[in-house]
Amino acid sequence: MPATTTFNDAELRVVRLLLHRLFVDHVDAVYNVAYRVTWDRGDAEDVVQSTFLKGALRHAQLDDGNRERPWILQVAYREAIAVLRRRREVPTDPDVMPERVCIELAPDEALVSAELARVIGQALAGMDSTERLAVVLRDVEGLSMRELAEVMALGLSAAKMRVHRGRDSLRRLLESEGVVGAV
Amino acid sequence: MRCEDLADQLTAFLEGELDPQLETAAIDHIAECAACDRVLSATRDTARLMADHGRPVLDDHDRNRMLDALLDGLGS
Repeated sequence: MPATTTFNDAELRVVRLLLHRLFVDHVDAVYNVAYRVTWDRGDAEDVVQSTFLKGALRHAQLDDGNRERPWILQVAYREAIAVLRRRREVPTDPDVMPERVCIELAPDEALVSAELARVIGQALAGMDSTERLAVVLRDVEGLSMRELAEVMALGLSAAKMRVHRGRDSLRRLLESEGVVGAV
Repeated sequence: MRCEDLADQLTAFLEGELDPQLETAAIDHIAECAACDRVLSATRDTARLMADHGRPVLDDHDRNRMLDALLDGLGS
């Protein structure tokens, strides 16, 4: 993504430092949002790129540093939606893009973790897209309801309803897989 | 409180947003209703699973590659 602003050397050093810091602090959350919206690793990486570039260039507009996480996730969400609009496709089957195993785990733990991640990924793919993102933002990224509403450009009541329905939908899907709710 | 009332209020209950009277009614209902207790447990388990396994895995190679591309794109 080409920069639309030219910098002198000093300004470029500042922007690079900011970009690096934003990336280290938020890449996992940004990639999560990007992937759960686009369901494509390549597109998700494109969203990561554009999100952090825009974030670095617009950071001066953020007036409260405590809100940096929901702010950058709002950028990521908008970038991901823009990708979907350009692509005009339905989310692809996550089975063709297997989740990678965390190599730091012991072998048995890695297998369990990978299987859980796969089942959760499949369940998420079967959900309404806004309910899915609401649950991801609340239960994975830990955003408050108010922050979630802001990221998704929803009223607070609508955001809470998305989380409520999303959790219910996901619970039912995971119950059908025998992952939760064993009697 | 009926089962369908708790179902409607489940998220508010889990988020700690019910007023004290409703929260007490919910707790009393869950204590007496095995089905609702199972739904509550399963919903909590779902949230825990999401927190532990809900992110697609990114390894250090992926992160470094994306960061390098970002910094290269910005120029030196």
